[in-house]
Amino acid sequence: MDVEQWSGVMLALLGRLRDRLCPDGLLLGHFKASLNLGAGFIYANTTGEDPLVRVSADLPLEAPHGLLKIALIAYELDSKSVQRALDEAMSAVFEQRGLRAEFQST
Amino acid sequence: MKTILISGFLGSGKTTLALELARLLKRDGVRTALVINEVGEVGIDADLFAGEDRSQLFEIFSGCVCCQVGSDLVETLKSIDADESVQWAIIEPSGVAYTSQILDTIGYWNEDAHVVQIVLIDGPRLPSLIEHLDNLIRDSLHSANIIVVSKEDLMDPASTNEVFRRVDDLAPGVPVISGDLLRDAPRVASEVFTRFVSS
Repeated sequence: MDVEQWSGVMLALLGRLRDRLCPDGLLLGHFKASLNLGAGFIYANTTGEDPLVRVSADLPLEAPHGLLKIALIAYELDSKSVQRALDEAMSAVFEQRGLRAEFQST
Repeated sequence: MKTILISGFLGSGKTTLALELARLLKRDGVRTALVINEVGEVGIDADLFAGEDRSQLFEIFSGCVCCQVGSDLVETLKSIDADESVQWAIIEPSGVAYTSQILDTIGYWNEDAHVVQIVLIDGPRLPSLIEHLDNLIRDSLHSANIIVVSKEDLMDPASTNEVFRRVDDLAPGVPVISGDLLRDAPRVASEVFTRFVSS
């Protein structure tokens, strides 16, 4: 997968979370994620608007796997709903692209 | 060692501004430490510093420096200050921190600390933040040296004027600048730098 494809994964993930958890676009918080591809990072975030992505890597960069970190912090959202939305978003986005994930929750 | 405290709600652009200020200081040959506090046990903001000099990057996790891990901040500042070559520390607390409590905490490290306090205001979300988190927002503005209204690109001119009016109501007389930090961070950082840091 190249950087554009990985960026698409990040945007899709945060977009789904945003649509599910704050459909009106009003988020009293911050959803952010970073993907370590070894030779660079892709960072994405949203505060309720369309997610934005930033790439800090030497291009072109291709990577078969990466370490994805996601942090969701918000007022007025309960952790169970957040966890459920995260599970669903990851399943949908990864399945669509034929990706396999190993999870580690903190 | 002097300090820059960059306050602001979650997602208002603190890390972006911190990175730009660190670059400006580095450009001038000023050794600078960056202290980043994220709530939770996984650091993401520090990944934005990929490609930069990370030797002076300090991360504090597992709580907010304004309350649970205040002593960690004091110890971190002490250890940075022990290295006399470091002239500035940029402190980026979590976006849920109460600024007044962080200033108190910095006072435990050094009661005469020189602190430049920059407050980031997320322009489009300001009405909603005031409605739901009035105390947090007011607290951050209480002793600001300069206020930066971010995400200017997401507001129309009327909304921008309204945000400036509300900010002036909340912090009368404090200089306010605005910008789109994603595209315009060097200009915004340069203005802050010129006014409060380089002199």
